[in-house]
Amino acid sequence: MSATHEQTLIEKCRNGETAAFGPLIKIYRKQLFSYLLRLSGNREDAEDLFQETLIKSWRGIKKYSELQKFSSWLFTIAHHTAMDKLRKRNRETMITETEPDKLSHTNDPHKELIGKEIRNKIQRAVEFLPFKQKEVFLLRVNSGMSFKEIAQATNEPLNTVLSHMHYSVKKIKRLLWSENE
Amino acid sequence: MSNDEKMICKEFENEVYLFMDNNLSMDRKENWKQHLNKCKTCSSLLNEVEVVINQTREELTDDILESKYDRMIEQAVQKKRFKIIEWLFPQGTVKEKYAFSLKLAVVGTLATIAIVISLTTQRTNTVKTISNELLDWEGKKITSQINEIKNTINLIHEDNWDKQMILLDQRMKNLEKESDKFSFN
Repeated sequence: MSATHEQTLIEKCRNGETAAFGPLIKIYRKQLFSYLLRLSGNREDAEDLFQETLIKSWRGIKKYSELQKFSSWLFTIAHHTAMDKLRKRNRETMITETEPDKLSHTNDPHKELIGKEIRNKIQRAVEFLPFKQKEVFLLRVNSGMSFKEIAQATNEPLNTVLSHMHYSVKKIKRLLWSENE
Repeated sequence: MSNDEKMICKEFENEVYLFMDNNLSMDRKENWKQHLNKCKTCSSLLNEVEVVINQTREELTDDILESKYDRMIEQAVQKKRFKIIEWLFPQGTVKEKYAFSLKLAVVGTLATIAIVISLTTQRTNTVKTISNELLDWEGKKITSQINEIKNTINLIHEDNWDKQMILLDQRMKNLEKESDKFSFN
């Protein structure tokens, strides 16, 4: 999907063309949903957060500025939505209650079979991360935002964000490598 | 590996993410590129980081059903509703829908209490009552005077035309005076 196509869809949405909103969000749908799913820990919450993100982004699209990448803007909304919601709930409970197998949802049984083991390992590794580290790691993985943008979205200094990323990658690496041995 | 080399590698470890983001000066980036060509430790570190990120992205990608997505988009682009409507009928979210019956029960109870209170409380308007009483009392007085004048008019036909006219004139004047008292101007 070209940047020009994305820009055209953004313009249409700004002009109130509701039909352009679906195709625009669809560009980032999987990454966005995956991010919310990993962060919240269950599909039901992730769907609620996804819906709220859609509502907020549609209402705010007229204020969107091209100075920022659309994906970064969208993920920042998703991030704040998730943080607001998660703060209201018992965060620890949400994280520990996560059941890796139930998070998976794919219609491809072949891929499911091959990737299940490694997928569960990565999933478990991510689940074990402290919340702040997980937040930064998932934003980077799913949104592709730069660390500078992540720092802005999370209201953290750049060095703190880099430190979170450093430790999360180190932990995931250790968990994956040690389990593979 | 010398201590200097170790220091350089440690420095790269600290800057690896900025290097990936192109968030370094041109010179600095060029220096690291040259270093990576000859340092196995740093090049494997960069490779491992990229593997972890890419593999996580690949393995942990999920999606929602197309029909559900379409429904969510449809709800998102709906016109903004009033806050009270939003409160009573929350959009889209699954859990909040369960709260609807509770909200309805609360609103219903409050409405019932309001109706019961309004029906049982006796409403009195003292100003209106006093005003009516005053009007009734003055009205009776004026009616009796009008009746008196009517009687006098009846007598005019019989006799003492002049006398009766003077009497009538006086009474009319009295009546005007009385009515002036009630003038609101």
